Amino acid sequence: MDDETQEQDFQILEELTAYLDGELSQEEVDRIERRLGEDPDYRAEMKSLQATWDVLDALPATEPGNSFTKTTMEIIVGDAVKRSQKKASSLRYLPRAAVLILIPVILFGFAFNRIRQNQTLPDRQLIQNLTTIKYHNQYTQLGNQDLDFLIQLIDSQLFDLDPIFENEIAESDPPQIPSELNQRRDYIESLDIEEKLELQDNLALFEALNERERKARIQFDQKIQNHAQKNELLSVMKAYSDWLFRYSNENKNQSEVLEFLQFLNDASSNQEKVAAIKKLKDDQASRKFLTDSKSLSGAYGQWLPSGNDAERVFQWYEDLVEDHSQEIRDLFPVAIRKYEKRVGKSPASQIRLNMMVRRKPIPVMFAFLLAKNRGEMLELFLNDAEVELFLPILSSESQRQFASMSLDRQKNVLMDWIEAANKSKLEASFDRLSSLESSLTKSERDRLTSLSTEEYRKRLMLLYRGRYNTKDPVEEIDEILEEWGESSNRLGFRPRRFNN
Amino acid sequence: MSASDSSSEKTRFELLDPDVRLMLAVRDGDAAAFEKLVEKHQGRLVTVLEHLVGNRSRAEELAQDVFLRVYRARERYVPKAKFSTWLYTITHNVASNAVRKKSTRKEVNLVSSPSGSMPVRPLDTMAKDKSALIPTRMAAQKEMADLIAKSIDSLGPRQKMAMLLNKVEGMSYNEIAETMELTPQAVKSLLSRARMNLREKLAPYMNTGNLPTGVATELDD
Repeated sequence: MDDETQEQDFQILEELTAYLDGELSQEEVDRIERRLGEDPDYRAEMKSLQATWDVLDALPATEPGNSFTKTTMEIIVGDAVKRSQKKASSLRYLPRAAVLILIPVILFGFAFNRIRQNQTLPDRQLIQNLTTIKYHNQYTQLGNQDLDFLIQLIDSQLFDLDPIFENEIAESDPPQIPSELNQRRDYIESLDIEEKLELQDNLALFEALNERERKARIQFDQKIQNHAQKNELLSVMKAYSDWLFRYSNENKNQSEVLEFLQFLNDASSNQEKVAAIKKLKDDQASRKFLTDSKSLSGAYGQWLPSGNDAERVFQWYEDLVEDHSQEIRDLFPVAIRKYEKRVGKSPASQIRLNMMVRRKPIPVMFAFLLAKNRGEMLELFLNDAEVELFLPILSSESQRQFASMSLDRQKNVLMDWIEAANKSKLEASFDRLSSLESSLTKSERDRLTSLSTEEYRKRLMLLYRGRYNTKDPVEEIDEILEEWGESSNRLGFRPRRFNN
Repeated sequence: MSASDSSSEKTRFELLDPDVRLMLAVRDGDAAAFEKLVEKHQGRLVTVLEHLVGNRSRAEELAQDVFLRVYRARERYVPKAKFSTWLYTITHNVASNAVRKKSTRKEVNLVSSPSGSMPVRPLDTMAKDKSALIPTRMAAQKEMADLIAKSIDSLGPRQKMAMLLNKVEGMSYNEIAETMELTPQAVKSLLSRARMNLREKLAPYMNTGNLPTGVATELDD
């Protein structure tokens, strides 16, 4: 076969291959199909090529083993940890950001999808370094293992009691891990499955560290375990770690998170770090308070507390309520009797009030009292001395503005703030609940009161959310509405409920 | 300006390819999205790699390496093509390096099962099909699998890669070209040669009736 023929044959091969692969223009397809109809050799060549390719259709898709995904993700987590820690040891920039962003995000991203099996934990490494492994993530969050930083966190009292994030109140009694190695196996056995799995995850991450890093971890852990303030150190570390985790995970503004982490990393001293943490916590508290207070119905005073003032106002409210909790308890039944006398007793409201009192005592009772007996509350809470004591907690700028008001005005502004702070603790607005309830028909109300208290509460809250909130379980609300027929329009539910 | 809105081209890929959207979520810190990508692509990726390196457990290791590289590169990810094109560009590099290293070490091309306990051809997994439970059929399928695997093995590395991307991943010539950093014309040539070479290997069986019984049955089906 000469070169020219070979070349022609290859051209035919190419065009038929492209034809079979659907890679030709319509014009070319038409041309080839005309020839296929006319030229038996050409047609035979095409069929032969097609048959060859068709044989390959017998190629089965490989299915990697069940554990492939899990192993892959473990490799990636291990790599992420190694890389971030490598950076931490070689660069002053980025380490904490990398560690903090990667580890929580990766671990939590995978935690729910992981194949959960009760496996026997590797013994020796785990038993010997149990405490190091137990606190692995918290030690990682700390970045450089620095005992002084933890001690300063304790002294700062920043994580003793956090009025905004109640979950982070430091544990006063961290779990006691036996120091004797021979008791540790029983301790591990006694853990529940979730705790065992957590240990297992931590062990994998710990083993992904290089030898030098593992050694440093173990030494740091020993320092803590043997420290006179061991429990306080562990508590504050946990509270700090939880707080940082939530901050880095829940904040949608990742650049803000990175900026903060970068700032922590660049801080020249632990004092500077602690100050940055305090500032951020103040900002968080005031944002929450401000968000909550903005939705308060009615007047809200001439100016809002801002920045650090908001957290101080919030703390002041908490202290105030705590000081007056007994009075609130005493006043509440009296106020209810007055209320019922005025509006007439209804079984539903009686049940509702009883139920609320049991579930959320102080803020709910206080909300009721503020709504119905504001004047009395003002007298009780805000005598002149109290207002005078309040002033110094504000920033100098706020003090100046506050001082320019009359005493009456000051008291009214403070009452607004108290209401706002109290409202931020409530699941539902009392007024709105009342309004919702009063819009029910008698038969609907009877239907509700025939339910158990728990069920009543559940339904009422679902209805409440259906009317006022947007993020709640649509199906359950729809079920109630379906059962109630025409109620939905009258009760003012959001139209989107009916689009589903 | 974020990488995702910097051009209409990127928007197009985001709109058309759900995997691009997943990868953008990974870039923005959503690790669960990465797990979805792994689950979605692992099967085809391991199949391609298994034929490229001729060894199942090695293919799994390399697939993990590919995913690791993808994850490491997430922060720099900008959707300029379909996700699979990007994935297989990385795969192509990883596999090429692996094959190069292997040939440098002059390793014997032993094909083994993941456990390494017995030599198995990649395609013998066909025998696991429900229809393959009859022993003679199983044997025939095994022969068929061996035959195809040998034919594929006989292709040059670039022909093999192009063929697998076309056949397993269903890529167009343009996508294969992008993945392998070739021109579409070069891909057309590669695939034509691959088809020709495979036909040569399989033709004696297909044309002369010397195909093992089981294979003949498969082809008749």
